[in-house]
Amino acid sequence: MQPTGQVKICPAEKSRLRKHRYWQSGELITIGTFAALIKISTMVIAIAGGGMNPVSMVLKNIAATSLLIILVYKVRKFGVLAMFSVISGLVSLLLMGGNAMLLIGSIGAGLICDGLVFVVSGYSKTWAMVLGVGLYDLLARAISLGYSWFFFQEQIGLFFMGAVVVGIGYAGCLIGLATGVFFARELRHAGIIRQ
Amino acid sequence: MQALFGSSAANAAGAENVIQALDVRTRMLICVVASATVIFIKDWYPLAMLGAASFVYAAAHNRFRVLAVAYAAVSVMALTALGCVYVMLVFMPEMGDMGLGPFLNPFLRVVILIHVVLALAISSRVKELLSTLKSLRLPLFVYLPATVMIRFIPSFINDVRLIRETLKIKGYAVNPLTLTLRPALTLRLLFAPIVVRALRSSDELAVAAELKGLGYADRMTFIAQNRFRPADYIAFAVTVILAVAAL
Repeated sequence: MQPTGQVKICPAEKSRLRKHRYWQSGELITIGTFAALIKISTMVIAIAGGGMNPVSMVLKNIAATSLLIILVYKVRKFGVLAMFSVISGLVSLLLMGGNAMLLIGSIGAGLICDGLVFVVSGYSKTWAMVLGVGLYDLLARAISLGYSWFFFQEQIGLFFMGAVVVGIGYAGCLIGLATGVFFARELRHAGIIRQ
Repeated sequence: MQALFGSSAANAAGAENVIQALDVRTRMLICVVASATVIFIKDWYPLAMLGAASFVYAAAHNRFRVLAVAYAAVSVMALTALGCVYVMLVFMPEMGDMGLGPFLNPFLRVVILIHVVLALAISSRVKELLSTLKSLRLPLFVYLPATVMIRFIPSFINDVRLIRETLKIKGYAVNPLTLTLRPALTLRLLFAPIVVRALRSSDELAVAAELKGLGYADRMTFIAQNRFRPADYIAFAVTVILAVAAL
């Protein structure tokens, strides 16, 4: 009886299979899932809050930042925030009317914050990840406000209105940093996050 | 968002209008050109000209109801914002001049972007979007999460509906009143189940992707090649001419 199950692989194929990829499929899928989840949860809270409700403005930012913290906890790699920005911005542009100009700024903010977290602790310390996400939220909002200044340059009052709304939202982000760490620890305790 | 469900009458009938005949990449380029151009225009008449041109572009899709809803939303936002600005002007008169140009320009910019972005969002079907992402020759690390996100949004919307139904059965209502009066409870009730569901789904999908060897191919092969047609070149040329003329 001849031995079965012997598959010959040519050397080129072997080296290709051995090729190390920086992003694993599982990590990319997690980023995509969380990008979708953040979009949906913020949209649901905004709709449930009934528009210009300051409580819902704060709550949706708490939810978004908490989810971002959980994502960074789960995928601890340089570029996770930039990757999240690319995916979220690209899909927003295609499906939900996102602004093309904000995408570039958002990717820049992601790269800066990824760099900060990487330099400070290499994604090993919780406080560094919290700092990175907090700065990312701040930079992304600053870029949005910069773009809206061009938009509302003739009516600077409208720009200030927007700035107040963004400020209220950022207060939610700051709370979300703490709740995100709390959720991530609970999920790690439950064995859902393993890092 | 409607593209996710692919339920529009036009899509169901398989009919193609002028916008759907254009490649998705052309529609994306039009969005980029429009969003870059509007911030450099300071006068109201070139903005009004671009607004009219973008209206023709959006109206070619024959989805006037969606346009009307978008206009209504912008009007409500504009009226709210203007009301607040008038209140601010009472206390700080140096903040702004309410002439015709300064009054119209911000809203004309918003309307132009709504036209081009709605045309992109309404007319793209999921299949078309996925093939576009492929045809953009994006690397796998961009293509894979984007595909997951597009595929997952309808699933999460459905999950949220199920959670709301479950909460109703248990006697909790999620509405502006409960969200304002009991924000922590509402957030917890909505947030916890959907996060656990998302994490589980991403783990299952990741295992499935690993088992299928996703990401180990050297390059993707395409069943159909998306190529620009003469209509795409014409649409892009018209967009550039209009943008240059407006500037």
